[in-house]
Amino acid sequence: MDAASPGLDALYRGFRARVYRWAFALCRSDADAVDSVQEVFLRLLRSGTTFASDSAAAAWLRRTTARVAIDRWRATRARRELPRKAAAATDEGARRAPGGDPLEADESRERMRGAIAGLSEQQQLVLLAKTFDQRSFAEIGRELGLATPTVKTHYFRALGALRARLTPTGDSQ
Amino acid sequence: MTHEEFERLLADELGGEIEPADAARLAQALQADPRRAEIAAQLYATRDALAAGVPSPQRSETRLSHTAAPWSAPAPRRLRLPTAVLRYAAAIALAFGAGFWSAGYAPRPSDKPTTGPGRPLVVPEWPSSTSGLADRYARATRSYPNASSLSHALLSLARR
Repeated sequence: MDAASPGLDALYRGFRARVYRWAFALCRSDADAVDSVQEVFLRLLRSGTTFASDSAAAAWLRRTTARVAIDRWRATRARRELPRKAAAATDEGARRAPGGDPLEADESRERMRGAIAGLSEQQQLVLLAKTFDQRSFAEIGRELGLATPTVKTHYFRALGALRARLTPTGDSQ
Repeated sequence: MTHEEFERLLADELGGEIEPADAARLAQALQADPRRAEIAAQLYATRDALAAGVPSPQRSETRLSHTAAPWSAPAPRRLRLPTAVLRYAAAIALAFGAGFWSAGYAPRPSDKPTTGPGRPLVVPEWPSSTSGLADRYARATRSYPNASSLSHALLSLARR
Protein backbone atom coordinates (compact mmCIF):
# COMPACT_ATOMS: atom_id res chain seq x y z
CA MET A 1 0.00 0.00 0.00
CA ASP A 2 1.30 3.47 -0.85
CA ALA A 3 2.24 5.78 1.97
CA ALA A 4 -0.15 8.66 2.53
CA SER A 5 0.97 12.17 3.36
CA PRO A 6 -0.08 13.81 6.64
CA GLY A 7 -2.28 16.13 4.57
CA LEU A 8 -4.16 13.17 3.22
CA ASP A 9 -4.71 11.81 6.72
CA ALA A 10 -6.09 15.18 7.80
CA LEU A 11 -8.32 15.24 4.74
CA TYR A 12 -9.61 11.78 5.59
CA ARG A 13 -10.38 12.71 9.19
CA GLY A 14 -11.98 15.99 8.16
CA PHE A 15 -14.15 14.71 5.33
CA ARG A 16 -14.90 11.04 6.00
CA ALA A 17 -18.20 11.74 7.78
CA ARG A 18 -19.35 14.00 4.96
CA VAL A 19 -18.38 11.47 2.31
CA TYR A 20 -20.25 8.81 4.29
CA ARG A 21 -23.41 10.94 4.41
CA TRP A 22 -23.27 11.72 0.69
CA ALA A 23 -22.76 8.06 -0.12
CA PHE A 24 -25.51 7.00 2.27
CA ALA A 25 -27.92 9.49 0.70
CA LEU A 26 -27.18 8.02 -2.72
CA CYS A 27 -26.98 4.30 -1.83
CA ARG A 28 -29.34 4.23 1.19
CA SER A 29 -27.13 1.49 2.67
CA ASP A 30 -24.66 1.63 5.53
CA ALA A 31 -22.39 -1.08 4.10
CA ASP A 32 -22.28 0.53 0.66
CA ALA A 33 -21.63 3.94 2.22
CA VAL A 34 -18.71 2.65 4.29
CA ASP A 35 -17.25 0.88 1.26
CA SER A 36 -17.73 4.04 -0.79
CA VAL A 37 -15.75 6.06 1.76
CA GLN A 38 -12.84 3.66 1.39
CA GLU A 39 -13.07 3.70 -2.40
CA VAL A 40 -13.27 7.48 -2.64
CA PHE A 41 -10.19 8.07 -0.50
CA LEU A 42 -8.33 5.30 -2.28
CA ARG A 43 -9.01 7.10 -5.56
CA LEU A 44 -7.79 10.31 -3.98
CA LEU A 45 -4.56 8.61 -2.90
CA ARG A 46 -4.00 7.10 -6.34
CA SER A 47 -4.80 10.32 -8.20
CA GLY A 48 -2.30 12.35 -6.17
CA THR A 49 -4.67 15.30 -6.33
CA THR A 50 -3.98 18.23 -4.00
CA PHE A 51 -6.42 20.98 -3.12
CA ALA A 52 -5.96 24.69 -2.65
CA SER A 53 -8.89 24.94 -0.26
CA ASP A 54 -11.44 22.94 1.69
CA SER A 55 -14.05 24.02 -0.80
CA ALA A 56 -12.09 22.54 -3.69
CA ALA A 57 -11.57 19.33 -1.72
CA ALA A 58 -15.28 19.13 -0.96
CA ALA A 59 -16.17 19.61 -4.61
CA TRP A 60 -13.74 16.87 -5.75
CA LEU A 61 -14.84 14.46 -3.03
CA ARG A 62 -18.53 15.10 -3.68
CA ARG A 63 -18.17 14.42 -7.38
CA THR A 64 -16.12 11.28 -6.81
CA THR A 65 -18.53 10.06 -4.14
CA ALA A 66 -21.47 10.47 -6.50
CA ARG A 67 -19.73 8.36 -9.17
CA VAL A 68 -18.53 5.69 -6.74
CA ALA A 69 -21.83 5.40 -4.88
CA ILE A 70 -23.99 5.22 -7.99
CA ASP A 71 -21.67 2.66 -9.58
CA ARG A 72 -21.75 0.61 -6.39
CA TRP A 73 -25.54 0.77 -6.22
CA ARG A 74 -25.87 -0.31 -9.85
CA ALA A 75 -23.54 -3.25 -9.27
CA THR A 76 -25.43 -4.27 -6.13
CA ARG A 77 -28.77 -3.97 -7.90
CA ALA A 78 -27.57 -6.14 -10.77
CA ARG A 79 -26.48 -8.85 -8.33
CA ARG A 80 -29.80 -8.73 -6.51
CA GLU A 81 -32.03 -8.55 -9.57
CA LEU A 82 -32.58 -12.25 -10.17
CA PRO A 83 -33.15 -13.30 -6.52
CA ARG A 84 -35.54 -10.38 -6.07
CA LYS A 85 -37.57 -11.37 -9.10
CA ALA A 86 -37.71 -14.95 -7.90
CA ALA A 87 -38.78 -13.85 -4.42
CA ALA A 88 -41.42 -11.54 -5.84
CA ALA A 89 -42.86 -14.39 -7.88
CA THR A 90 -43.02 -16.85 -4.99
CA ASP A 91 -43.84 -14.54 -2.06
CA GLU A 92 -46.64 -12.51 -3.57
CA GLY A 93 -49.16 -14.09 -1.23
CA ALA A 94 -46.99 -13.63 1.84
CA ARG A 95 -46.49 -9.96 1.08
CA ARG A 96 -50.23 -9.39 1.12
CA ALA A 97 -50.65 -11.15 4.44
CA PRO A 98 -51.87 -9.19 7.48
CA GLY A 99 -49.19 -7.65 9.66
CA GLY A 100 -47.64 -5.27 7.14
CA ASP A 101 -45.41 -5.51 4.14
CA PRO A 102 -41.89 -6.55 5.12
CA LEU A 103 -40.48 -5.37 1.80
CA GLU A 104 -42.15 -1.99 1.78
CA ALA A 105 -39.27 -0.13 3.43
CA ASP A 106 -36.76 -1.85 1.18
CA GLU A 107 -38.80 -1.01 -1.91
CA SER A 108 -39.07 2.59 -0.77
CA ARG A 109 -35.30 2.81 -0.40
CA GLU A 110 -34.87 1.14 -3.76
CA ARG A 111 -37.21 3.65 -5.42
CA MET A 112 -35.21 6.53 -3.91
CA ARG A 113 -31.91 5.01 -5.05
CA GLY A 114 -33.24 4.51 -8.55
CA ALA A 115 -34.67 8.00 -8.67
CA ILE A 116 -31.36 9.57 -7.62
CA ALA A 117 -29.40 7.42 -10.05
CA GLY A 118 -31.65 8.68 -12.83
CA LEU A 119 -30.61 12.30 -12.24
CA SER A 120 -27.81 13.94 -14.15
CA GLU A 121 -24.48 14.20 -12.33
CA GLN A 122 -24.83 17.95 -11.90
CA GLN A 123 -28.31 17.55 -10.45
CA GLN A 124 -26.95 14.96 -8.00
CA LEU A 125 -24.11 17.25 -6.98
CA VAL A 126 -26.39 20.23 -6.48
CA LEU A 127 -28.79 18.15 -4.37
CA LEU A 128 -25.96 16.79 -2.20
CA ALA A 129 -24.39 20.19 -1.67
CA LYS A 130 -27.69 21.87 -0.89
CA THR A 131 -29.29 19.16 1.22
CA PHE A 132 -26.35 17.82 3.19
CA ASP A 133 -23.81 20.65 3.22
CA GLN A 134 -26.23 23.56 3.41
CA ARG A 135 -24.27 25.41 0.71
CA SER A 136 -25.83 28.47 -0.82
CA PHE A 137 -26.74 28.42 -4.51
CA ALA A 138 -23.96 30.92 -5.16
CA GLU A 139 -21.35 28.76 -3.40
CA ILE A 140 -22.47 25.68 -5.29
CA GLY A 141 -22.25 27.63 -8.52
CA ARG A 142 -18.66 28.61 -7.78
CA GLU A 143 -17.73 25.01 -6.93
CA LEU A 144 -19.28 23.61 -10.09
CA GLY A 145 -18.46 26.51 -12.38
CA LEU A 146 -22.13 27.33 -12.98
CA ALA A 147 -24.16 30.50 -12.81
CA THR A 148 -26.37 30.83 -9.74
CA PRO A 149 -29.66 30.76 -11.72
CA THR A 150 -28.47 27.56 -13.42
CA VAL A 151 -27.83 25.98 -10.02
CA LYS A 152 -31.33 26.92 -8.91
CA THR A 153 -32.75 25.37 -12.05
CA HIS A 154 -30.79 22.16 -11.46
CA TYR A 155 -32.06 22.03 -7.86
CA PHE A 156 -35.67 22.62 -8.81
CA ARG A 157 -35.59 20.18 -11.72
CA ALA A 158 -33.82 17.54 -9.63
CA LEU A 159 -36.49 17.70 -6.93
CA GLY A 160 -39.15 17.62 -9.64
CA ALA A 161 -37.61 14.55 -11.24
CA LEU A 162 -37.41 12.81 -7.87
CA ARG A 163 -41.03 13.69 -7.18
CA ALA A 164 -42.12 12.27 -10.53
CA ARG A 165 -40.24 9.02 -9.92
CA LEU A 166 -41.24 8.62 -6.29
CA THR A 167 -44.89 9.46 -6.90
CA PRO A 168 -46.05 7.38 -9.86
CA THR A 169 -49.32 9.24 -10.15
CA GLY A 170 -47.76 12.68 -9.76
CA ASP A 171 -47.45 15.09 -12.64
CA SER A 172 -43.99 15.66 -14.04
CA GLN A 173 -42.58 19.15 -14.41
CA MET B 1 -46.27 35.33 -12.35
CA THR B 2 -44.58 33.38 -15.16
CA HIS B 3 -43.71 29.71 -14.79
CA GLU B 4 -39.95 30.53 -14.84
CA GLU B 5 -40.37 33.07 -12.07
CA PHE B 6 -42.47 30.60 -10.07
CA GLU B 7 -39.72 27.97 -10.43
CA ARG B 8 -37.03 30.42 -9.31
CA LEU B 9 -38.97 31.58 -6.27
CA LEU B 10 -39.92 28.05 -5.29
CA ALA B 11 -36.28 26.95 -5.66
CA ASP B 12 -35.26 29.82 -3.37
CA GLU B 13 -37.95 28.79 -0.90
CA LEU B 14 -37.01 25.09 -0.97
CA GLY B 15 -33.33 26.00 -0.63
CA GLY B 16 -33.99 28.33 2.30
CA GLU B 17 -32.70 31.40 0.50
CA ILE B 18 -35.85 33.30 -0.34
CA GLU B 19 -36.05 37.02 0.37
CA PRO B 20 -39.01 38.22 2.48
CA ALA B 21 -40.52 40.17 -0.41
CA ASP B 22 -40.27 37.18 -2.71
CA ALA B 23 -41.72 34.92 -0.02
CA ALA B 24 -44.83 37.09 0.11
CA ARG B 25 -45.18 36.98 -3.67
CA LEU B 26 -44.77 33.22 -3.71
CA ALA B 27 -47.34 32.73 -0.96
CA GLN B 28 -49.77 34.84 -2.96
CA ALA B 29 -49.13 32.78 -6.09
CA LEU B 30 -49.65 29.51 -4.23
CA GLN B 31 -52.87 30.75 -2.72
CA ALA B 32 -54.18 31.79 -6.09
CA ASP B 33 -53.36 28.54 -7.87
CA PRO B 34 -54.14 25.25 -6.08
CA ARG B 35 -52.25 23.29 -8.71
CA ARG B 36 -49.05 25.21 -7.99
CA ALA B 37 -49.71 24.78 -4.27
CA GLU B 38 -49.94 21.02 -4.76
CA ILE B 39 -46.68 20.96 -6.72
CA ALA B 40 -44.99 22.96 -3.97
CA ALA B 41 -46.28 20.61 -1.27
CA GLN B 42 -45.00 17.56 -3.18
CA LEU B 43 -41.57 19.16 -3.67
CA TYR B 44 -41.35 19.92 0.06
CA ALA B 45 -42.14 16.27 0.78
CA THR B 46 -39.56 15.11 -1.76
CA ARG B 47 -36.88 17.35 -0.26
CA ASP B 48 -37.63 15.97 3.21
CA ALA B 49 -37.68 12.37 1.94
CA LEU B 50 -34.26 12.88 0.43
CA ALA B 51 -32.80 13.89 3.78
CA ALA B 52 -34.79 11.35 5.80
CA GLY B 53 -32.88 8.39 7.16
CA VAL B 54 -29.44 9.81 6.42
CA PRO B 55 -27.36 9.72 9.63
CA SER B 56 -26.44 13.02 11.23
CA PRO B 57 -22.83 14.27 10.95
CA GLN B 58 -22.18 13.21 14.56
CA ARG B 59 -23.55 9.70 14.01
CA SER B 60 -21.61 9.41 10.79
CA GLU B 61 -18.39 10.39 12.56
CA THR B 62 -19.09 7.85 15.30
CA ARG B 63 -19.82 5.19 12.70
CA LEU B 64 -16.45 5.73 11.05
CA SER B 65 -14.40 6.38 14.19
CA HIS B 66 -13.04 2.82 14.21
CA THR B 67 -12.61 2.58 10.44
CA ALA B 68 -9.03 3.07 9.36
CA ALA B 69 -8.10 5.02 6.26
CA PRO B 70 -7.63 2.73 3.27
CA TRP B 71 -3.89 3.46 3.15
CA SER B 72 -3.36 2.54 6.79
CA ALA B 73 -4.91 -0.90 6.49
CA PRO B 74 -2.58 -3.70 7.64
CA ALA B 75 -0.41 -5.27 4.98
CA PRO B 76 -1.70 -8.57 3.67
CA ARG B 77 -0.31 -11.59 5.52
CA ARG B 78 2.41 -13.57 3.85
CA LEU B 79 1.21 -16.76 2.27
CA ARG B 80 2.01 -19.67 4.57
CA LEU B 81 1.93 -23.18 3.24
CA PRO B 82 0.08 -25.67 5.41
CA THR B 83 2.31 -27.88 7.52
CA ALA B 84 0.93 -31.03 5.91
CA VAL B 85 2.06 -29.87 2.47
CA LEU B 86 5.54 -29.23 3.78
CA ARG B 87 5.66 -32.69 5.38
CA TYR B 88 4.65 -34.41 2.16
CA ALA B 89 7.22 -32.39 0.20
CA ALA B 90 9.92 -33.37 2.70
CA ALA B 91 8.91 -37.04 2.50
CA ILE B 92 9.08 -37.02 -1.30
CA ALA B 93 12.46 -35.30 -1.25
CA LEU B 94 13.78 -37.84 1.27
CA ALA B 95 12.48 -40.75 -0.80
CA PHE B 96 14.18 -39.47 -3.94
CA GLY B 97 17.34 -38.77 -1.98
CA ALA B 98 17.37 -42.26 -0.56
CA GLY B 99 16.76 -43.75 -3.99
CA PHE B 100 19.59 -41.88 -5.63
CA TRP B 101 21.90 -42.55 -2.69
CA SER B 102 21.32 -46.28 -2.84
CA ALA B 103 21.61 -46.28 -6.63
CA GLY B 104 24.92 -44.49 -6.45
CA TYR B 105 26.41 -46.90 -3.91
CA ALA B 106 24.84 -50.09 -5.15
CA PRO B 107 27.15 -52.86 -6.44
CA ARG B 108 26.68 -54.38 -9.84
CA PRO B 109 24.40 -57.44 -10.07
CA SER B 110 27.32 -59.76 -10.70
CA ASP B 111 29.28 -58.58 -7.63
CA LYS B 112 26.91 -59.16 -4.74
CA PRO B 113 23.49 -60.56 -3.91
CA THR B 114 20.71 -58.09 -4.41
CA THR B 115 18.62 -58.64 -1.33
CA GLY B 116 18.95 -58.85 2.39
CA PRO B 117 18.26 -56.63 5.34
CA GLY B 118 20.43 -53.61 5.48
CA ARG B 119 21.82 -54.15 2.00
CA PRO B 120 21.29 -51.62 -0.75
CA LEU B 121 18.73 -52.54 -3.35
CA VAL B 122 20.15 -53.28 -6.78
CA VAL B 123 18.02 -53.23 -9.89
CA PRO B 124 19.99 -53.98 -13.03
CA GLU B 125 17.77 -52.24 -15.54
CA TRP B 126 14.46 -50.50 -16.03
CA PRO B 127 11.67 -53.05 -15.86
CA SER B 128 10.02 -53.85 -19.16
CA SER B 129 6.74 -54.98 -17.62
CA THR B 130 4.51 -54.38 -14.63
CA SER B 131 5.61 -57.67 -13.13
CA GLY B 132 9.16 -56.32 -13.01
CA LEU B 133 7.93 -53.18 -11.32
CA ALA B 134 6.01 -55.27 -8.79
CA ASP B 135 9.14 -57.26 -8.12
CA ARG B 136 11.10 -54.09 -7.51
CA TYR B 137 8.41 -52.84 -5.17
CA ALA B 138 8.52 -56.08 -3.22
CA ARG B 139 12.27 -55.88 -2.90
CA ALA B 140 12.09 -52.23 -1.83
CA THR B 141 9.60 -53.24 0.82
CA ARG B 142 11.90 -55.93 2.12
CA SER B 143 14.97 -53.69 2.02
CA TYR B 144 13.31 -50.78 3.76
CA PRO B 145 10.65 -52.33 5.96
CA ASN B 146 10.15 -49.14 8.00
CA ALA B 147 9.67 -46.81 5.05
CA SER B 148 6.26 -45.70 3.83
CA SER B 149 4.42 -47.14 0.84
CA LEU B 150 5.03 -43.93 -1.09
CA SER B 151 8.77 -44.24 -0.43
CA HIS B 152 8.72 -47.84 -1.57
CA ALA B 153 6.95 -46.85 -4.78
CA LEU B 154 9.34 -44.00 -5.45
CA LEU B 155 12.35 -46.19 -4.73
CA SER B 156 11.17 -48.87 -7.12
CA LEU B 157 10.77 -46.22 -9.84
CA ALA B 158 13.96 -44.31 -9.15
CA ARG B 159 16.38 -47.20 -9.03
CA ARG B 160 18.33 -48.24 -12.11
